Amino acid sequence: MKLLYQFSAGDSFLHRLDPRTKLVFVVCFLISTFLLPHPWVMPLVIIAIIWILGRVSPLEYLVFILFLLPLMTAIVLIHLLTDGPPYFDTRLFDVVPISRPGWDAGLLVAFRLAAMGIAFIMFSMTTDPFDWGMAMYQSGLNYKVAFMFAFAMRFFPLLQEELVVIRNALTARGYRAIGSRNPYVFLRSVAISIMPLGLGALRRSRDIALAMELRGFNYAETVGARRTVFRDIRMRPRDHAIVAVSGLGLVAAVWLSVRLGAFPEIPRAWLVFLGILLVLFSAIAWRISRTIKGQASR
Amino acid sequence: MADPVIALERVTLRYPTAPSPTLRDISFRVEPGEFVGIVGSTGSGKSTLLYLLAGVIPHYLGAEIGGDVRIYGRRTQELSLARISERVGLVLQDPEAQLFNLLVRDELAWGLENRGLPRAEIASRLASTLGFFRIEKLQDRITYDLSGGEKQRVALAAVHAIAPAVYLFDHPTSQLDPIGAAEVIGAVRRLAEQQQHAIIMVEDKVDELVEHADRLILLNEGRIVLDAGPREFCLRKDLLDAAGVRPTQMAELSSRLVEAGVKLDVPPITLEEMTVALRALLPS
Amino acid sequence: MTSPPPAELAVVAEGVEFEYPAPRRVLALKGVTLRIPKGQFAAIVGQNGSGKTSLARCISGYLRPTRGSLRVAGTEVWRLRPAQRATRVGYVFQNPDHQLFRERVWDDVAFGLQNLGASPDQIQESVEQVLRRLELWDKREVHPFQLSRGDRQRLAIAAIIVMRPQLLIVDEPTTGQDMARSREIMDLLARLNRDEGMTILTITHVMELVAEYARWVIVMHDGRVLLDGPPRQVFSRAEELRISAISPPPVARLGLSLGLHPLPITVPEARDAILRRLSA
Repeated sequence: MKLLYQFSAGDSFLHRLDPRTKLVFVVCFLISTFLLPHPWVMPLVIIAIIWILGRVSPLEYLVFILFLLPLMTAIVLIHLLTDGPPYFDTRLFDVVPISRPGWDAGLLVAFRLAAMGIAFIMFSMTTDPFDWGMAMYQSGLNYKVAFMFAFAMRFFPLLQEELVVIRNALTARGYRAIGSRNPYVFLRSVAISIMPLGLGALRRSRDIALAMELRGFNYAETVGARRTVFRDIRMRPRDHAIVAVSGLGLVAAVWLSVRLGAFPEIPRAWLVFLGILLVLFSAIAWRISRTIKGQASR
Repeated sequence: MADPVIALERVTLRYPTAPSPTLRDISFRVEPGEFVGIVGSTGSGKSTLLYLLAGVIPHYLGAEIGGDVRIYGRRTQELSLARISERVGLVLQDPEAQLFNLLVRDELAWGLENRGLPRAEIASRLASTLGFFRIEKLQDRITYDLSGGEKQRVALAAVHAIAPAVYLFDHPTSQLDPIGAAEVIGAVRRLAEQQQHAIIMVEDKVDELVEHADRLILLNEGRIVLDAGPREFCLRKDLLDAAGVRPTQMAELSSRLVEAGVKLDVPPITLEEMTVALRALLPS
Repeated sequence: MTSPPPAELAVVAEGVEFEYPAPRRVLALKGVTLRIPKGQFAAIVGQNGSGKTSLARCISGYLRPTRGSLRVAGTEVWRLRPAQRATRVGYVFQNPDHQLFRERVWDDVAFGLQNLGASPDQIQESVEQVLRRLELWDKREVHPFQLSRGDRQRLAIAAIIVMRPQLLIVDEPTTGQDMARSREIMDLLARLNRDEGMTILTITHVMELVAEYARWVIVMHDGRVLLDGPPRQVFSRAEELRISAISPPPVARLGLSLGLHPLPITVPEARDAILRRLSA
């Protein structure tokens, strides 16, 4: 079982892309999703991309999709019941009006949410968390922060295994709440599992911290030297190509959205805010490209 | 004559919260190429001693230290942990606590990256370490998928890549199954055969140490009560009993046979020796 | 809180298979058939991946066999609710840290009995008895995290035996411990076995302890029972043991190469056997 749809090792096109490329793609995809009017297209598009380019079949994240469905249903229902007129002819329980625009609005939000969620897990399933952390490091993020992030991911499987043992140990004490469907009872069982999980992690973390120290985790800081980056994380031509395609796709989505009249009305204040974000984003992108050039020459 | 690699002179150590000293009046030396085993019951101070040699105490964990602890003639208290860890490598007990990177080859390069070594140098050390321990086939594996024995071997290789002069081992096989333990001992033996490094290993079971170590040190309540070659070590039943340590089964058997009047000039301490000795004595 | 009626056989397994569900899909047990009599002190040995842990988990009811039948004291344990299970089969896991659920030693031991619905008086009495027996009474107010490894191990055992299981499974009680502590634990298990008739099943790697304490050995290899029988018998089948990567204790190997009969498996036995041969 994969927790949080963690990295699923593979050698597909998506796996080999730089994490930053995928990040850019996801952002462009998300913005496009919010601009385009046909809600059901985007989740299908992203599922297809994951399948074809990432060689990860939807069955592998079926549980996630199944989790999304009740959420989507709830959103549609809320819109159906709370949005305004015109209403359908039939009424819920013959009393409550069901909004027509609510149906469209609900579906729109629901499918956009689905597309968003699946895009995120596309990223997490095809990206080695270490590459993710190290890519951020190369883009200027402090090494220790980037490392801690990547390193936390590496320990998830171990914690998962330990959690299974802890649940079994609770059953061994006659504890009934494991696997209970009652959410309150289930939550209590989670709470009681935290203590042994935490203690085990705490004990292990002392050894880990020592081992890291001994292999020089703080060496660079102490001695004033510079860390080498041995791992090969570079933006390759295909990465640049995908970034370009994503950018073009976004432009196309904006154009299409305006053409179809679906472009959302944005108050002036938001436009100013967006403009500032754009400037910041460009500045960061420029900084990233400078750092990449700097790192690549080492 | 060159400096001994390790020289301890009348060392006493007390942890801040402990009522009494953990190490008392410890003196011993280790020469280059020696393989020393340290044995003692739980609480005898063996891990503390190892931490002292690795510079973990006083630089990472605090304790009151009396006496001299020297690595290649320099006092560990005067060197930084960064400098000490270049010359002294430590392999810990828990296979899960020593690997932090996703892939094995990244793990081996990690310590060298931290030290800012040039990429070409890292590449060459990586290749040589993988070749030395014959773990090339592991290099692209994910660290958390490895078996316990494989993890410990990778931890050892990661230390080896830093090329220390001294290797310290803190119960390296205690959490492993017999196959894993054998794999790790095999890797250590390969290291020992080079005769270039000083190797100090703390273990609970004497069996492997007796086969590979040049000498064994027995700790009892923080004191060194015995420092001798494997054979002499195994046959000092009195000291071993007092320290709560059992010798090898063969050494125990030797003692009992000798007590019963059997003529064993050189009491066997390993299975091979015992088989040979008894075959000579027994009617065929 | 009543105990189930005793049966002659503690464990009966017939063609037990177990396959881990997707995505692992590993067939961990490929047809295990064995009988463990009530009151036995048995050791399950085998390398990692041989199925010994899966077998223990099936016996204790955490895993349900995908094929075949497995009964403990006549019942299929996986069907039982945790409280009922705990009085039939107790399971002490390898890492004591995974079994600490309360902030005081006393509370942790009482936890199981509370889940079983015991009265406060019963709990008081039983917990004290078990703590004294395991020499943890003085530490009853201590936070388990602060105990030494040996004490935590004993605590884990205490927390299970306080529920008085008929069958106790102990998973690798000796890993990470020195020989003296390991022996103490084995002595404790032997006393439980002798004085209370508790059936003991221990998973371990240390053949010397198996030779000294176990009266029955089950050797697992590749998901099947390779050998089972009294230690002396199992250790004499050296050729077959080789496949399972299990090595008899040194004195047994000595006995095999010298052709000593009966095969000695402990040091005193070896001494006696050799002396007999020398005087013959």
